[in-house]
Amino acid sequence: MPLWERQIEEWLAEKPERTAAADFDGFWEETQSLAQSQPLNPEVVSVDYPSKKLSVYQVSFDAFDRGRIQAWLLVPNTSASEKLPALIRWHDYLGFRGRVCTHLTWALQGFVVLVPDIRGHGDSSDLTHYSWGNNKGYFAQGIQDPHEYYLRGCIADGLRAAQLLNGREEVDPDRVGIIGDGLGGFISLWTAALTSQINTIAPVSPYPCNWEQHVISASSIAADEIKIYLTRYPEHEETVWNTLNYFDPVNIAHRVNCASFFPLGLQGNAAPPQDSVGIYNLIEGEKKLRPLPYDGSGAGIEDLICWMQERLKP
Amino acid sequence: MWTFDLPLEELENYKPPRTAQPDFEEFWERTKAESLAQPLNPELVPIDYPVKRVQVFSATFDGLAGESDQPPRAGGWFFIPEDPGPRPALVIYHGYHGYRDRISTHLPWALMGFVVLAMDVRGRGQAPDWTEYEGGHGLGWMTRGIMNKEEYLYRFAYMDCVRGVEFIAERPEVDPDRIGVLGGSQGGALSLAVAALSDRPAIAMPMVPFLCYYPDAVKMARENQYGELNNYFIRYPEREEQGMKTLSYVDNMNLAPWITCPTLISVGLRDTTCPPSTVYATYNHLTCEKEILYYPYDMHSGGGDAHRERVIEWAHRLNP
Repeated sequence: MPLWERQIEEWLAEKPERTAAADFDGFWEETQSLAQSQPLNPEVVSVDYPSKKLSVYQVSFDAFDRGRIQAWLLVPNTSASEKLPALIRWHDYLGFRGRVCTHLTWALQGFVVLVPDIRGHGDSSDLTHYSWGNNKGYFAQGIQDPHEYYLRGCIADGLRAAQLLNGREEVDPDRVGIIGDGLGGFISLWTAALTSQINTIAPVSPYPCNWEQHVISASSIAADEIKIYLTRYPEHEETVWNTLNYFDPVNIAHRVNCASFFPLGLQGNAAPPQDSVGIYNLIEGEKKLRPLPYDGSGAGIEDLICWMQERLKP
Repeated sequence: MWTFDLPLEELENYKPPRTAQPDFEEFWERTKAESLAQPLNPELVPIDYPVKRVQVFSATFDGLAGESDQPPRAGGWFFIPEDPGPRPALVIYHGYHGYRDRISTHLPWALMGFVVLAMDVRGRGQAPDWTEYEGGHGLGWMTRGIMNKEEYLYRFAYMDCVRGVEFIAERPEVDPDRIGVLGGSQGGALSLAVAALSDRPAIAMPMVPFLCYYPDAVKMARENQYGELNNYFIRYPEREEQGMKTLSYVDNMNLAPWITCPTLISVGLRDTTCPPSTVYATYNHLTCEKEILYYPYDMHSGGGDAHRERVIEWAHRLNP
């Protein structure tokens, strides 16, 4: 047995401990209800594109609370009138939605594809009135209060994106999947846990997970940003962990009940692979782990194509 | 103002004289004739792929034989879209340290309606290099056979890539008047070379092309592709003259005037792998319909997906 297989077996035997506060479920029930009752006010503008095999739109909708999310919507042109399967693609931390061509692989297979910019990234605004300033990046924004924390908006926007896609007339609401890289994988886990609108998710090296462990041991930007905050304001340590526990996938993974596919590059640093396996262990629904022992994070596209073809049948 | 290379205004007019030797044309006419006389012996092996809108094959055909009795096989992924034919086609070449890559890398082109061949370049991926070189060489491929133009790796690599275009032109699914070539870096160099050495391409879309104007390249480039040449000339300074002479035969600046199809080039103005002056030197020798898109903030990414959108636009001239 190769060394990495033994390593994975060890990881598979460990379930991370939940760190949820007593009102964790209430907090998310409230957030979900607010996110889904706020009108989307979508705007859809057609974009001219050279390939006539698809229609391309620039879509925007109201972000959770305040601000506006901008997204690509790619719709395959089909002669048949039947509804199509759909995918949301969430980019990684500090990334952006990319160009239209970045997503052709999926749209041209026959998926409707929605690709939003995460709030504060790309063209999507983050208009949260944070009560503090910031040090660097996004992960410490609003960390003083779970209701204000940056990731609350990201997750709520994730729910709203799913709502928007489910409501599109060309979309078959029973065949909607999410692919997310890194922070995008984090958003997909959360969306799948909080709604039943998702058929399948593929969190690719979801990040951050297992917050306290992550900050102490991972070499990631998220860990750095939290450490900067804690070195400046050591007296906030308890507040920081308290807030982050509301946003730790270890506390929500057991609620993911759609089918999940984890392509897992074992050489990833930003998202330590054992964290992904920990989340995987907590998921109670149908699930599949695909270890890629010699790849970094973000690998496994061919396996992903195979999975989405089987699950969503474009 | 200090910049890594010449300022843009000077790049736009930068046209050093070609370094072609007197027998440059004869050399390539002979090589082309040698290739044409040699059959392709194509073979397709179907690949089971989850996306059923395209048929995927691993294609092989004979590479340029040279002195060898048994030519090594060249080839790559071959895609046939479901759309009724005859279709336009694209031949795609990879970068210096690359390979034919995964099927999914090329899938969008096939799904847009192009027949696609994504090749392994000689000595890379699944394409063996069987040339019986007189001696050894440095790390990589740049110095393989460098002291003898007849055995230099890129004489064979260029012709294998031309043969890739021949292979696709002979396919019944393909309209031979609608063939495009593209690739980045070494793939850009190969697209230029094929457009110069074959009448087949109707369009060429080289991105941040490599193998352009060696006299500048070996002095400026900071990365290890052209650097393999520097290391060789450091070891054997007495071989520089002969080595540079060999390189002149495969210099895309020298091949540039032979290109007749419309050509779209990209360049990163901070590119230390394929420096802008080497790209402009080549571009300014093109006499075909041409366009160059420069990306002031890019290094070897050369515009990335932003440029890829322009390539998709250009490729649609072939009416997929």
